[in-house]
Amino acid sequence: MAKTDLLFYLSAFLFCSGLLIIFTKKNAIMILMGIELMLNAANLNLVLFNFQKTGMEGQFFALFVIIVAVCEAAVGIAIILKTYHYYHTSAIDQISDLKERP
Amino acid sequence: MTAAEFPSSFFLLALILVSLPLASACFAFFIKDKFAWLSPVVSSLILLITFILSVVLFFQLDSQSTNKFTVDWFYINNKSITIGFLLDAPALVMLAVVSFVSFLVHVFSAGYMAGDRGLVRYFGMLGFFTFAMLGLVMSSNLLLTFCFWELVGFSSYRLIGHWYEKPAAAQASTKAFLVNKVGDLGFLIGLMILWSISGNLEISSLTQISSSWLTAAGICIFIGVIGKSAQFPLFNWLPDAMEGPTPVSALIHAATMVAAGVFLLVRIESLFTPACLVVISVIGSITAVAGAIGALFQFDIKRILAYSTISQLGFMVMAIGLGAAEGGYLHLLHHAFFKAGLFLGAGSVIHAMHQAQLQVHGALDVQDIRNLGGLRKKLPITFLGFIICAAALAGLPLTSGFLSKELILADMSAWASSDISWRWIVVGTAWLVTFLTPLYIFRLVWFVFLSKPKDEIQLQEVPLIMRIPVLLLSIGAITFLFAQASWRLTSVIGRVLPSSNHLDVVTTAVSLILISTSLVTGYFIYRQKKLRQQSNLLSPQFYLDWANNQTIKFTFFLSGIAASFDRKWIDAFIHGVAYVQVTLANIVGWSDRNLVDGFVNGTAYGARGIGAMTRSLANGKIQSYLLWAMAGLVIFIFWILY
Repeated sequence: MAKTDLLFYLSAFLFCSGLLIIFTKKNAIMILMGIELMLNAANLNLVLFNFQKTGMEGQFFALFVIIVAVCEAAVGIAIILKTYHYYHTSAIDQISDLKERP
Repeated sequence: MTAAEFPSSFFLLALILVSLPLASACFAFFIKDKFAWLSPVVSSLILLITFILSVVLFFQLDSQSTNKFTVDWFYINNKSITIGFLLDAPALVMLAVVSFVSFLVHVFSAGYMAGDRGLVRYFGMLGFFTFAMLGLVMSSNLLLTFCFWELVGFSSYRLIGHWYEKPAAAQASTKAFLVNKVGDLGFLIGLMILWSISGNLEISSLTQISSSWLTAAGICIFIGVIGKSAQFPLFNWLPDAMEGPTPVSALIHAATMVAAGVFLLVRIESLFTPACLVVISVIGSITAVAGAIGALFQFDIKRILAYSTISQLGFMVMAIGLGAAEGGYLHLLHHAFFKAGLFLGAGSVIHAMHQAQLQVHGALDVQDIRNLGGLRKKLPITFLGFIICAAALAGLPLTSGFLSKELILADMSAWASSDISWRWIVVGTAWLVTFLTPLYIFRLVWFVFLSKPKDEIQLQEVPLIMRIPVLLLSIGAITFLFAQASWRLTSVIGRVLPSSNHLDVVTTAVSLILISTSLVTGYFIYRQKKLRQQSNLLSPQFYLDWANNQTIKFTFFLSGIAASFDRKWIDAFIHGVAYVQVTLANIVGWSDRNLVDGFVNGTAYGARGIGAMTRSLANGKIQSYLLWAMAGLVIFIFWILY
């Protein structure tokens, strides 16, 4: 029980650090990394909670999440690359064309 | 009387009658220069038709059930102002006289104005003038009368200034117009007063209202008459108006312009209060004497006649003022004939002399009676017409002037008979005018026709077209056309005059003695006498122009005083008030800015601060949105769990 408890704490830590990265980092790639961290935390939780019951649904769901995350990362990085080409920056603060001008 | 009723043929004829001269004016307006010679012919024919129509109308009068036709014009305060015709016997007689004289003037002008550059314009304005006068005579409403009254004034302005390139003519026409405007203002004010006290401007239903304002209204309307009919304070425009063509003078003096005033007096005679009548008779008597004296000392043939007209008009106005309106009206009709005849005769003389002067390249003033003389043999036909009209003016027996003058004098004697009062002065002036009139007309006839010829100018008698009108008018100046041999007026005019039966023998005898004395005196004065240069005393217009100028100066002086008072006191007061107001306004403004605006601004500032605070949450940064969303979620979870 103590081992899994530690893993729960790890999962919470990963989630919080991912969240913090999202809130604080300016760079879009860093934000994408934060999202990955949070997804990993969620995966960890899925696997851990699956130990408490019979069946493999948790593990499989985690696999799906990993696949989706890969796709998401690929698409996300592609978007970031295009925006970088267009704006010559990947800081999300400075990309504000859709916002109405003050 | 109702608006929807269709006018009978009588009124349709009247409508055609009044629009015919207007058609003549329009014809002259649209005609091409190439056909200018048509204008006199067409205009004269139109006026002939007008005259015939007016006679037809006159003889239809008896068979008419009503002599009034009106339609509603507009409404003021639910009271309708109507326009329409009022065709009673005086109006119809006046129509006939006006159209007859105007017709003859048209015919005469065809000869007199031949070759004039403004021929078409001249005949157009003659037609318009006649139209205005006919409308004035026929109108049933004083407001409509006023409109035509103004039109008469306007067209006389155009005609007097026909030779506008002559400075004197332009000046004279402007003067006539302006002096008339003074009178017209009085007329208009009178109409306003009348409207406000009675609400009625229908001529046929004017009655005496017991209001002290009625006297004011009457006097104001009479001021209009003073201007139009050239009475005492405002008569100085009439002699100047002699600058116009002579036929125009004939028209103005006989039928259209100055007759309008007297005609109006006759029309609204029932309106005048006794006080008004006193004013009217006094003004009339002053005018009569002033005109007669003025005529005695003039040298210009047309000016003599102009002053004579002033005198005669004064005589008529005086007659109306003392209640002898019938006599005054009859005199107006008679005067129309013989004065038109005199003017046309004078026009013939001027025309003949002018032609003669053109042949010898002379530069004589052909209107000056000092340069004329002995024209009896050279212009026999003109002389015949002129002498008959002059006899009528002088009031010799068997002429029309005698008849109407006797009527007036008899009425006057009856009016003043009882005690010695100011009335005797008025009557005395009437007798004085009776004495002076033959004197000045004898002077005119003597120096123009009877005295020895001045020089050997070859004169030719004027063309037939100019002789006929003079002769026709002189026939009109003979009594028995209008009244039968007995002293009673039983003929055509008798229908106009209900009670004209008080000619008494004494008056007739006295006036006959006066007239013959006057003629004899004139003969002995002027037989040998050479005319001196113009005497200064009575030149040129009884100092009336001078008086006018002094009045204007005095007005300027008064207005100067008023202006300085204005500047020193009223302006100072206003400035003081203004300063106080400005100071007050400044205080109010300050409190407004700082207190009221401060409160408002403070509220707005607070609102803006709160708005800025809330707005700062929505700063467009996705991360801060996420942060707040997460914070909200956390708070929500804690709130659910605990």
